Amino acid sequence: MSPTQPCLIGFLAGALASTASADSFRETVLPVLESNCYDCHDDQSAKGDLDLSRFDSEDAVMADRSIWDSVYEKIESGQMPPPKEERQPTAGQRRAILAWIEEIAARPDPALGARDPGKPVLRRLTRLEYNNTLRDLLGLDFDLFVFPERLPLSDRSYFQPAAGKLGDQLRVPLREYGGKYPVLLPQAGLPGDNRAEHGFRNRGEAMDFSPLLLEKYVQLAGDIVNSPELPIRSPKFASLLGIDPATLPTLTDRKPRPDGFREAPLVPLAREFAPDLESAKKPEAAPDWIGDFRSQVASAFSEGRGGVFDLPGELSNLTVAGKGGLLKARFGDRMVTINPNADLWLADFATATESSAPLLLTNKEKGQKVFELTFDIRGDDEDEGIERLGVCVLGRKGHHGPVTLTAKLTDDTETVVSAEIAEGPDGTTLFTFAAIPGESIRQLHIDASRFSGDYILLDDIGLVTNGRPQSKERLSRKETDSPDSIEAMPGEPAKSEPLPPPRARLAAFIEAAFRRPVGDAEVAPFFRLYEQARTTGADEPAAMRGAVQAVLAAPSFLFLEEGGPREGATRIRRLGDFELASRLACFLWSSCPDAELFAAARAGRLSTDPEELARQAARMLRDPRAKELSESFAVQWLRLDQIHTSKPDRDLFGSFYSGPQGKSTLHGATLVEPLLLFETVMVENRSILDFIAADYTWLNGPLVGLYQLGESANPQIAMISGDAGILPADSQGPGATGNREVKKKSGSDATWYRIRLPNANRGGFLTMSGPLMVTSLPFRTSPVKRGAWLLETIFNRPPTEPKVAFAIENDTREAAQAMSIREKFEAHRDKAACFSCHVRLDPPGFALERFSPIGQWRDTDGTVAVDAKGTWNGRPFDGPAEFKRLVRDDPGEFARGFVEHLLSYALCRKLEIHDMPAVTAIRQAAAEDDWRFGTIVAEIVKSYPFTHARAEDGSATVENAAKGDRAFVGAPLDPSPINP
Amino acid sequence: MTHRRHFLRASGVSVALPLLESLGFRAFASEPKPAAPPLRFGFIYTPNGYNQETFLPATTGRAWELTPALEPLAPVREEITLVTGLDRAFVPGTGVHAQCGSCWLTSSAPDETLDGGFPTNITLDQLIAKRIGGDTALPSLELSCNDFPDNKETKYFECVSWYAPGYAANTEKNPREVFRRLFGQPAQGGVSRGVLDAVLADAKSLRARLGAEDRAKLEEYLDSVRATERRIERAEAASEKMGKPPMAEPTGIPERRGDYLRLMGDLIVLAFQNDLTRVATLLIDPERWDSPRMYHEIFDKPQNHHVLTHTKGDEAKEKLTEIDRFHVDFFRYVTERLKSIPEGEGTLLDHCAFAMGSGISDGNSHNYADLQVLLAGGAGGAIVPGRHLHYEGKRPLADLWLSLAGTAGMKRERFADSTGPLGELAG
Repeated sequence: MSPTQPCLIGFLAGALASTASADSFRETVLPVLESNCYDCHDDQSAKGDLDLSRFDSEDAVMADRSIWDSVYEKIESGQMPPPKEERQPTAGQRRAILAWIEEIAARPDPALGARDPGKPVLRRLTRLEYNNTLRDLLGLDFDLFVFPERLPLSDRSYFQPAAGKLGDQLRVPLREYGGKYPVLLPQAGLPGDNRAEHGFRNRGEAMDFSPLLLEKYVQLAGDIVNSPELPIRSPKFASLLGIDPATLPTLTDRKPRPDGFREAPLVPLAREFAPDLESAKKPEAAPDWIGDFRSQVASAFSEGRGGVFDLPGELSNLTVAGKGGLLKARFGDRMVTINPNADLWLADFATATESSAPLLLTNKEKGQKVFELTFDIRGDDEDEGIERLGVCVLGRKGHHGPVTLTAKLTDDTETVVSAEIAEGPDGTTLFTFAAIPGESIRQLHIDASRFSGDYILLDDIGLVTNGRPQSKERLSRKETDSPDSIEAMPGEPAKSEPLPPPRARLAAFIEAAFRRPVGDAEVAPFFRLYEQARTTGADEPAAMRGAVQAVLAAPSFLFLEEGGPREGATRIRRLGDFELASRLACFLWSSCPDAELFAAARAGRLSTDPEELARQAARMLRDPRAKELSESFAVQWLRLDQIHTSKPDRDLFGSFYSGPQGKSTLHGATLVEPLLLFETVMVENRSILDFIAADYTWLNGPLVGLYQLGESANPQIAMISGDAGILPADSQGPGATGNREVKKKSGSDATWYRIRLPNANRGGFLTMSGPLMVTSLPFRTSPVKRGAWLLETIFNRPPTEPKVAFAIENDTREAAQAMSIREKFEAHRDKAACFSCHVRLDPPGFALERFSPIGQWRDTDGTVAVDAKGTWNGRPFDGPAEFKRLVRDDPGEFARGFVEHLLSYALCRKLEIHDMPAVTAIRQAAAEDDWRFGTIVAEIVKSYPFTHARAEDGSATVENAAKGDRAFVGAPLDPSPINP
Repeated sequence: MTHRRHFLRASGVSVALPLLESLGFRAFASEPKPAAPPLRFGFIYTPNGYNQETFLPATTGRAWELTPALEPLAPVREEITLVTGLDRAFVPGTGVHAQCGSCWLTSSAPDETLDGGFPTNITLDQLIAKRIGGDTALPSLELSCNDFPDNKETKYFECVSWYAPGYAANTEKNPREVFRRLFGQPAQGGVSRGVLDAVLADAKSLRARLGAEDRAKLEEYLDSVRATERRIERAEAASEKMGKPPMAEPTGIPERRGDYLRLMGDLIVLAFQNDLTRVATLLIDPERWDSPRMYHEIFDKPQNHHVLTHTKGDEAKEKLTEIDRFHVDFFRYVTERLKSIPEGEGTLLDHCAFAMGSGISDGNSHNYADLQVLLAGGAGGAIVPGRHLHYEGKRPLADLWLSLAGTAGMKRERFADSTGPLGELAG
């Protein structure tokens, strides 16, 4: 917005009130077009493919308004008529044209019979939304798979928006970028989404569907439903499958461990040893044949002093980490743990037959065929140990060779049993051991180094302890009473209640997944899948898995459906309750509606009461899930997703790198700083002008070092750099002044302090290392990239793409040292073809020339003094502080840019000329409330384009079908209907 | 592990699918005298143009000299046709880089901007796939070696293969996934007839509730279901014929750049060899992108290809030549692989037309004129390789694409802004 902004708003209000007459086009607009525009933009020359002479009346304009918002932008920003033209319209004429365009934008669309509310292209969930939706549907507190949009924060507990305040000291630990982190399926994933032209990733036109993608969705859904861990991690899912959660293994930690290394759940020991085995070879030194060993174990099992460590299918593909990872099993009120010294793998091999299906135990690392298992019995008798031990070494197709097992006893004596394992299933051999009286077996050493193949396969670890027999009563006690570290899973039902029938469970899940009520007819195809599987012999959980897989690959889940009958005589429609609920949830959480939002939708409150929309939005902003507004919207808006691929030159910007081989970088810190500013404004409902000119920022030790603020006189900063504690930003600290040497303390990198800044050179996104780096080249700044970033993100007025290429003469790393980059650009700007864009593009770039490519303050560029002078909207500035003040003092231009970005993100579409009135209204409401973030969100969700959509052709015919199909099915709609 | 056929049966319902193609397949397999091998078409896209000074040979005809960038072609020069001096028209209003990849193979003339300001439309590879891909498991294969994790650019940068205006084919970037799609046994939880039936039923009920515009967008989903049904039907037949997969399953994206490219090249070659697909595109890297990447075999530090094109000085130019040569050497590798596989009376290469090129010539000036395309193979006799054909900017790139379309059996008069086929290709 130009400096004439306040005046313009006044004029506009007047113009809108009186509704400019149809003649204003002929009287005030046409003459200006004729004398100032037609020279270039008539049907003869039509420069830039623009012919304005075809608009000879207001009706002609109304029939094709789309180009007039770009006319508005060009006039408003002073790009048109070209500033070098002698003939210019008067200021009054400019204002009149702008007011007229705004008035045109606000009029009902002749074809629709109402204001055009716009219509987003039908879209699918983004990768982030897909993950979050499933996470919330299943009640998980970790991601389903690894994806790069998930920022490398390893702990988000600092973000507690319900408090309404972020505090002044936060702990924001980071994980290594690209490193593994705990998810359900470390190997699974989806392709990424591309952003739209000048827009976000959530736009339908930027997303295409293809056979490849369909197969990926089906496969991922299959991986999810077949995950052996999911029923254990998600009681909701277990109930859906018809599994009583009480029968599942218990976990002490609900989060999976990274890298496929997961904590093994606690399983019960089984009674029967190697039930799938008719007979097995017996090495000479082993005391027992299989029949004898079987009966010893079975009788020990019934006395609660032994059993078989059998590997249930739920543990498929589990890796137990060597040295620390534990396999755990309970028998009666005792527990046995097995701790391997190398990574073990629970798997199914096509080349071997398990002695008890479905899994066997093997080495994880190829060729790592020598390892040890250490046993520990945990119970109330400290002396209890293993008296007899047996394990099957499985014969394997195509492999054979000698295997030696050595049992180590508590008195350090050893018993060695060796056998030649023959090729194929006949090779399967039972190794048994008996401890000498008074001692017990504590360790089993496996040496298969001379066995061919990369893996040695073990199955059925049977054991008998020397403990007291347990009574029947004690044997039936639940594991929650068990000793030691065994804990009940939080939230697990104490007693299982009878589950609803399969169809009702499936229907309830489908409603939650489709984010709306569903009719019987919609459930039918999925339930049919369940029934078919049942008739072919699948058990209930397996059959339900297949049905749920199809639900998760169905378009009603993957796509955000919006559609319905038009309203009255117009061709627009008010969105329904469930559509609004989904819009809110996608906008604020990048996920699906929660129970409360569903309840509001079910009660019809969202579509009838705009204040309810605002109330829900305010509630949702206080939920930790609102962090996605920062991690998805703000990251895309500010291009923070490019931080980690920026690679400042190591020689020129050594301070960016630290540690051995420079492996520690400031990438993470430069990402967190802007995130924390955005979150502060969001959580504390502050003015969005903080984004431009906050007088505070968040810093950790390394950033204090980078910014060199420690050398200023600010006592608080001096204290941080000395790591002597911190004062809140709004208190005056005692005079700990002085120029202390800034030292990086790696231990404090995760600790962030809110700092009051000593001067306005820093503060706001423009002066942060992250955005400054993203808009630089590895070895020099780029005023053009910075200017383009600023125009696009801050003002939402992206420059047009250059039609000709331009390269700076002699642009090498060495040359960057010797000459000011600004001087090189000045020459370029003088070219006529370049001027009209660069007159807007360059000044902000020059203002930021005070900052190096990694955001350090600098007085010289190479050997030349930095010249950060320029003019913005006709006003001179020198340096970032003055530039920021110009933007802040005339906030309409930035506020409009921000409102447009956030509204476009909320609507999942590009804004059009007919959105101008909504943007103006939101901006005015925000201006009246000190530009508060929450007010902008509230105004967006209440706005006309958020609550309405164009009704498409053909929608009307669907009216009856839609009504008929929307009857509720059995269970009431609830996103957590399957959780007892 | 369950066999695919068994798996399909186990998953329930049998669906009446058009059997013509699979019958055709059987007829083909049981013929006493083998028919001529099918033609295959490959398209490799490299971004940001080529360093013109070190790429373009001065000599035309059979005597073309090996320029610094083309040196790696020495062992296969008799298999290569160098087609240079072809033009394309830039459509103003959209980014210079966004358009050169997304519209490299487009069938739209520059004045047909059906996709916003972009002249994207169905691309040559997809047209050929429709014509000759019918009875293969995958009508076409779209691959990409853009493994940057930040999806910072639009889809116009990601894809050279398009189904329709504004409708980009998605690319597969992970060699392991490509392998599984081509040769893998059906994994537990993979696509099954039962799941496809259920989602199709849902798609149809959803379609009935949508308006016209949304319905058109949902059509992408419905088409995908139909294509997938066809694929699993044919994959079954193909895997029976092929037996064991011809290579070990890759573990993922190789760390070294050259290994990554060659692995993707191997997968295309094997897919061609086993007639699993007859059309493939491979995006080596997206245009612009501006993220430094490692070229392990030639530089020890990450390089920003795009920035190098706009950097003056000999050092940058030399680096560009190195990158060009790196990509040309990859092309040499693919050519040799195709040539090493006997087929019919010659080699697989004889039945291929395999192109590599860029949508701009000089990256610094974003020049859409004077484009270069390397062509490997004889296309079943339609191309006489070993020559450098130079057109001095007098013919549009579309003329080359029109020629290839004709080779694939299409009777098209025009392709984009074509003026006629390049008669010189045939010798």
